[in-house]
Amino acid sequence: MALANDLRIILATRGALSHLRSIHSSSAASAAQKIKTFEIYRYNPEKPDEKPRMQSYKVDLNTCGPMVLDALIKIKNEMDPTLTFRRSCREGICGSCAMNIGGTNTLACISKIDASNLDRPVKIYPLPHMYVVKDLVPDFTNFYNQYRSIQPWLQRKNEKTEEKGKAQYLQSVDDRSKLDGLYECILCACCSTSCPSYWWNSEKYLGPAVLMQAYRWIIDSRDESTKARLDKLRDPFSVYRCHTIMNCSRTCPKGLNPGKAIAEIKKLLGGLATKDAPGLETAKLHK
Amino acid sequence: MALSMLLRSSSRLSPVLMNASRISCAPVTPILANKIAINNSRQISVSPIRQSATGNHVALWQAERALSVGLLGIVPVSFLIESQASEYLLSLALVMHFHWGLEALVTDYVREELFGSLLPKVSHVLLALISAATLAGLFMMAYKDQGLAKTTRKIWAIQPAN
Repeated sequence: MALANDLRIILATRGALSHLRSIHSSSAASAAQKIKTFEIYRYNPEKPDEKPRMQSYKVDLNTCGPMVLDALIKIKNEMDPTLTFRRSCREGICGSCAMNIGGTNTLACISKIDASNLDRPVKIYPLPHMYVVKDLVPDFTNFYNQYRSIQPWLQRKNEKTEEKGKAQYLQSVDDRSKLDGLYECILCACCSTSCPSYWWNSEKYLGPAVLMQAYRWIIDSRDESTKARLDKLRDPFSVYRCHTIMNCSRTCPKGLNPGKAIAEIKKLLGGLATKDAPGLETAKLHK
Repeated sequence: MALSMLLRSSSRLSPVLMNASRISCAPVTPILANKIAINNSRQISVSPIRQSATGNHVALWQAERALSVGLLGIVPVSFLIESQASEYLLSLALVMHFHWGLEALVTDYVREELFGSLLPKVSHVLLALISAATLAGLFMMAYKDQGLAKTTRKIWAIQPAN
């Protein structure tokens, strides 16, 4: 009896449900298309005689995800497979899709398409003042070499007695908190390529991203190469081309503050600050 | 099979090698497949020798900060007491401040990549001459005339003619 009642209710409401569905689908189909124009920098290295140009694509935002990266993927899938860009995680943790969107260096995957103003095209360029490999793909060779030059790994004086993998190094909670705001950097190069000083002297000035990582290893309580690390930065170019323009901190898509890290390096170099002794005996568990 | 694998892996590495050649490696001349492999492994393991500029900029940075703090006192004091000694001090401090600022400008913008090796050096010499001439002029003013602070005060005191 109860089953029959249920069946009756389902039969009675079936039409209403299908009606609802039809309303929904018809509204989607008949809704005004939200066409947004994307103007994208194009350069093809296989045609070196052709100058870089801007190419426009029209995307209906109703059938597109909310982020600029969604639109780029849609363009590549459905309109122009030759469009070239880097992307990987689509959630702001890999740093691959760093590009200049609407005049700001940021990650395409975490910057929203401005749907409120459809007349205004989204302009997308590769990161500024970098050699372009193709379209939105810049050449990071110099950037990565600079990162390598600061030796971004933990260095100990007694590496022979402190056998790797045998025991942990100790670090106090306070010492660990000094790394907050530094270790989160994903090396997307948004900050370095927004820095005018890095534009003018990128061969010799290390740039905000690399300097913030330099500071991350300088200030680490477990690292013992502090003096050597600082001595490598004393020349007029590695650090001191920073004129506190602060574009780096302004543009960082992760909300970090490379400008402050550089200031801390300058303080350490200039003797206005010193690195504290570790709060815990770092190699205690190795004894 | 092994040979084709070797060749494939070496061709795959070629972009890396192209970039490495920018750093400091000699180009590879392919003679034998196994020789290419040896060259490849060596070139990859060589870490680039990066020489950023030499020299020590720390003392200059400290002097700049000290002067910036000092100017906060020197400028108002020299306007208040109006002595020849404070005039010399003010002139020296101002010219040093300008000079270091402009020196950073020249270093940033007049670069060897754009202007060759000669012009940047000439610019630095020229800047030194300009700064020296400015300092000499201000010293002359303090020695023979009324000095910078008094001149500025007189300019401030000018009433509009009506």
